[in-house]
Amino acid sequence: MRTNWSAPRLATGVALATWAATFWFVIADDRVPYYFSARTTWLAAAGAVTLTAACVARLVSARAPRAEPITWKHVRTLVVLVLPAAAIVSLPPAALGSFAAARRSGAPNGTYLSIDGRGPSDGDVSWLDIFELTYSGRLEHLAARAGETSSFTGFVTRSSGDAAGEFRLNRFMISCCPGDAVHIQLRIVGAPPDRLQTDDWVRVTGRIYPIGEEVVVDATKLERVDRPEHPYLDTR
Amino acid sequence: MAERALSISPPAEIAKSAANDGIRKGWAWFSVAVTFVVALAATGSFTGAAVSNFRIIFSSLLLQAVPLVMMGAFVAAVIGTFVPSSVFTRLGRLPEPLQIPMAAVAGFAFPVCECGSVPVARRLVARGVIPSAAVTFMLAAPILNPIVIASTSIAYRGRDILWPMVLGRIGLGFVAAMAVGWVIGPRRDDFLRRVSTEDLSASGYRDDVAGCGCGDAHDCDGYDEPRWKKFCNSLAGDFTYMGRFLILGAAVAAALQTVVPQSIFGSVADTPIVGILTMMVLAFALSLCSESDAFVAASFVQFGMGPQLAFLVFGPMMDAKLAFLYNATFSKGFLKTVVAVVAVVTVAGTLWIEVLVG
Repeated sequence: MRTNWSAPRLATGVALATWAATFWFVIADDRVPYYFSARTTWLAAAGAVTLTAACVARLVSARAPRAEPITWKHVRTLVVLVLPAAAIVSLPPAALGSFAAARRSGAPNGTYLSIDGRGPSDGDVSWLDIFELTYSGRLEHLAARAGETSSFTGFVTRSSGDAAGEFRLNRFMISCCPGDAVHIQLRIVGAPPDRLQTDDWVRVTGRIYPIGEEVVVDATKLERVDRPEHPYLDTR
Repeated sequence: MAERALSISPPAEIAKSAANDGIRKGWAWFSVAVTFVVALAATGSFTGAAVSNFRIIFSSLLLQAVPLVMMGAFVAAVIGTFVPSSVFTRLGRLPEPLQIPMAAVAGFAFPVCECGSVPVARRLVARGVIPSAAVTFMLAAPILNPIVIASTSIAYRGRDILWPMVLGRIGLGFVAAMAVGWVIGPRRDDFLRRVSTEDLSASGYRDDVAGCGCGDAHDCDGYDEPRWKKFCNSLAGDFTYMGRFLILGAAVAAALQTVVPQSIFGSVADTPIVGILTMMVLAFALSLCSESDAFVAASFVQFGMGPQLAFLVFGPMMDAKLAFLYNATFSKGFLKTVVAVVAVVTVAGTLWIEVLVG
């Protein structure tokens, strides 16, 4: 049977190729932690493979039994499909910051998921320990560790009631993607006033004290750091 | 001559109607965009940080959903191309009252979330499965599949409401999916959205699926292509057709997450029915994957068990991005039916379980 190259099929193939390339780029450029949690990392590979397969399938089947003209509306649809992929690739990776921290759920007490079902780990108290104890309403379990020194990396926000030399250190916990991020926060005291800007990433070392519904860290050392390769905490 | 005039006139009217429809849709979207920008400006949210927040949520929702849609499209293409018609004929011979519960039970075996189940349901209807059964499967699978049950268990591990949450979610999801199936009934005509010729071209159906001989509700023109090509046509068709609505839905969800602070929902947490309705609205707005939503629901500790359960039952069946996918896939009125039935079952069911558990 005589067949012709179909312009619409080829164009659809290009759109599929763009999305496949986007997933491969996200993997190759180590951007997976910006979009996926450890639980859902496999989706990046799944997207790359399925879209590549679909693209190849579309291109090898791009010859049609009769001529198929391409319309402007079809082109517009494909542009709508391709634009978000192009934006993901062309814009630098970003992580949720102070804007999201002010708007997302950060329940101060009550109960939440158990990350490992135990109390704080035996080593230094970590973000995950504080996260679990805060959300499970068991911050008092940290009382035995009050005064111990730990280090935490997070981004800076400020609340209206904070005194000079105080700020909030924040991280987000994700289950699948930043769309489901839950907020956790420490109150840092003893910091040099006005040295830090909102959304700066810092590593704070200091003594921890659970006070009421929050954890206060009396900073002994504070250093500015780059945003971590894994900006979000997850349950792993 | 008169005969020719008659044959030309209807397509011209259709084209005019399609053009008017296109203009109306264009204005509708323009109005939505303007309203959104005005809302952002009015709330002081139109800042670089807001745009960045929107971009992060939008990108991550899309990157999560696209592979799942593609996996659903693969399954749909297999159903549409390689599964013999006799299988669906045999299924169709089963008593209709039996088909709906069986479809819901089948949801246990389909471990993808809601985005992937829509193209599968569409293809099942196209192959002759009664719409009520296909829709029941589509709504049940995202709640009843093993991964979702496991993630719900992990999210509530160590809490005394673990079993009410897990079993309540399974039970209410099962009942709500079947209820929608029963309300829809066995009607076959016009259940899938009939796509205009112009729209077919734009969506990729004309080039990608037309001629596939799949029996779908589009204008198949009878290309005699090999089966593997029909498979490719179906796959690419689902990508182009579902993809654009997925993008719209993800944009709306990201915009809602950017504009609406979650704290405003906390003020009604203690009001019994309002709390449940609030969490349903929140589930709609957040458009979370059913495999992760339990972790988020569990974080809303200011809400009781009932509202959290409502969040977990309503969200996987109806959210912002699903609304676009449903509207693009099924006939007019389907969306309203799903919203009404699932909302009633969710509210009644969660209240009942709250009373039961105390």
